[in-house]
Amino acid sequence: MILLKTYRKSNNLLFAEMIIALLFFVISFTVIIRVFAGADGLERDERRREQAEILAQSAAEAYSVSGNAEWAVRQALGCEAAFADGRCELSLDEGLLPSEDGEITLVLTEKRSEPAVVGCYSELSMVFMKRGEEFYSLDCGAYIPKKGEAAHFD
Amino acid sequence: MTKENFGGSGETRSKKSSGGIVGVGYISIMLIFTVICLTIFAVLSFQAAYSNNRLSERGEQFTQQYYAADMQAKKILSELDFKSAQLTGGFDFFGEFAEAAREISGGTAEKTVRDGRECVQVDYSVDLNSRQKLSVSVLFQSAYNEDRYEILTWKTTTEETSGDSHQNVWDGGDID
Repeated sequence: MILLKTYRKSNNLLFAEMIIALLFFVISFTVIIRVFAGADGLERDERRREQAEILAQSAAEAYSVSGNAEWAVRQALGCEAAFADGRCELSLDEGLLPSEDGEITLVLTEKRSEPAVVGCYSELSMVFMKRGEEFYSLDCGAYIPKKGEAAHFD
Repeated sequence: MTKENFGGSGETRSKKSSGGIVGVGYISIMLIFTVICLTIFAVLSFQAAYSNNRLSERGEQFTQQYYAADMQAKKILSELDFKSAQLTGGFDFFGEFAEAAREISGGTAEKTVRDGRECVQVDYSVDLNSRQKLSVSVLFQSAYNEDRYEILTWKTTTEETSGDSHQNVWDGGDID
């Protein structure tokens, strides 16, 4: 009889401990999951910025040898870019590939110096945006000298 | 003796059947251990992600600084090319252009002979950051065609900091 009472008491204790332990686990797990999610978010952001950097650098290098923004975009992204008043917007997906309704927008702005007597100096600005928020940008320049007698001053 | 033994094993059996094998405190110990392990993994993964992020930010910063300096250097080159084309065919191209090039680039411009042809070598640099700069060396000649200039060097250089890094050690003099 005494033994039975002791076991019941022990079971109650065990039950109470389990409930407290479960509560503690739930609270701590919530915090831990948040930390893991934060790490994952940082990793994703970093990967996205890294991809944007590679893409922007490719476009910048293509632009610096040609001075042609459309050609540079075609080389770097493999898609056509239609510039209007030196500005163009492209829609990209998460993997920074051209997409119709992508979450990422690439805004390209080209400025050309005038007058281009002996050559043309131009600048291309690339801004990557996700849901209207800028996450990477790169400005680059190109100088393409005019060849032949075009550079003759009279 | 035998009876006592039997009695003992019967007690254990009844403990097992009532769940007594999992003693009070065992769950807490296991849970605390699990939570500690999970916390360590979470902190380590966050720390690794944070470090990678910072490293990546530094890389991005350097890329932006490089392209900003590259733009500036190209702008100077375009101005120099414009001046060179303007002065081509003039009475004293080399003297006038060297002087103008020094003014435009803020660097050095010297008359030199390369492959039997007279030209002006312009050396200038654009700061990338406090430690590095983009050094450019261009050869200009009096010509109307595409051979107006030739880029000799276009590279990033790091400034020497050996003077600052010397150790401040006791030279054997008196200590005041």
